[in-house]
Amino acid sequence: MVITEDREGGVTVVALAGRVDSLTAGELEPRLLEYASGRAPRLVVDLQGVEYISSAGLRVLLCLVSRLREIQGELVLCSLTHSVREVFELAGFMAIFAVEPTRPLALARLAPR
Amino acid sequence: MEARHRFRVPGLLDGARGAALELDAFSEAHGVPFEVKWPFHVALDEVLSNIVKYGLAGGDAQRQIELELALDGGVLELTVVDDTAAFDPLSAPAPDLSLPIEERPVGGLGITILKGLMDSVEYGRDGGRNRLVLRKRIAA
Repeated sequence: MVITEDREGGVTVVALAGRVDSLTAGELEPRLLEYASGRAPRLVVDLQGVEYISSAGLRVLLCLVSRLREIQGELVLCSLTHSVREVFELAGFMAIFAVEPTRPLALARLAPR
Repeated sequence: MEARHRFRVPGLLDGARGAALELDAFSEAHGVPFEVKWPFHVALDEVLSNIVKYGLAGGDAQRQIELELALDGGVLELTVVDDTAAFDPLSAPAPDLSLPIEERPVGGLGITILKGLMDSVEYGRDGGRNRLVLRKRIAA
């Protein structure tokens, strides 16, 4: 699994590519939790390149959003592939996360009001 | 067209890696489309990690998990057999999806996803082994 990082204004965009499952969740979690630091961080996680995600991956995202909320941070997920969206829906995760169809929309959602 | 492929993986978290490769190879060899293949990847991850974590207390390199992929009459079928303590994933209580995240127990999510992705999930116990059969039809 490949993790890439971009900064767009005050927002960090992390893009994931590959398979997010029990084999990759172990390396993904500490990498993502690095972004849950500082004061009120704003984070987009772009899932366009994700082939599929299992419950191990969902748990990492859950941990990330919980950690961010503790420090008044914000998370928007974007560009969910069909397979990722189906798993999110089955797990009831669409109600937990802010989700946008594209990266520009995700960034717009986090723009200062 | 019928095809059947049996293989084994060690009872370790890393065993899922070999299983994923077998699924990829089988799918490639028999033209299983991505929209049917990926649910089986997720299913493999859920089933194997449950067996290793709960049945094998984190992992046991000496134990083997037996798997079989079968394609018959337009249905892809995955069978997973292990010899750990009896565990019927179908009888585990479903997580309460209406609870806010902070109140939700983490377990059970994988099985809910599994049941939602597959057309059918059957569990049986015989000869001291758990046998799980997952099926999904390949749309014409």
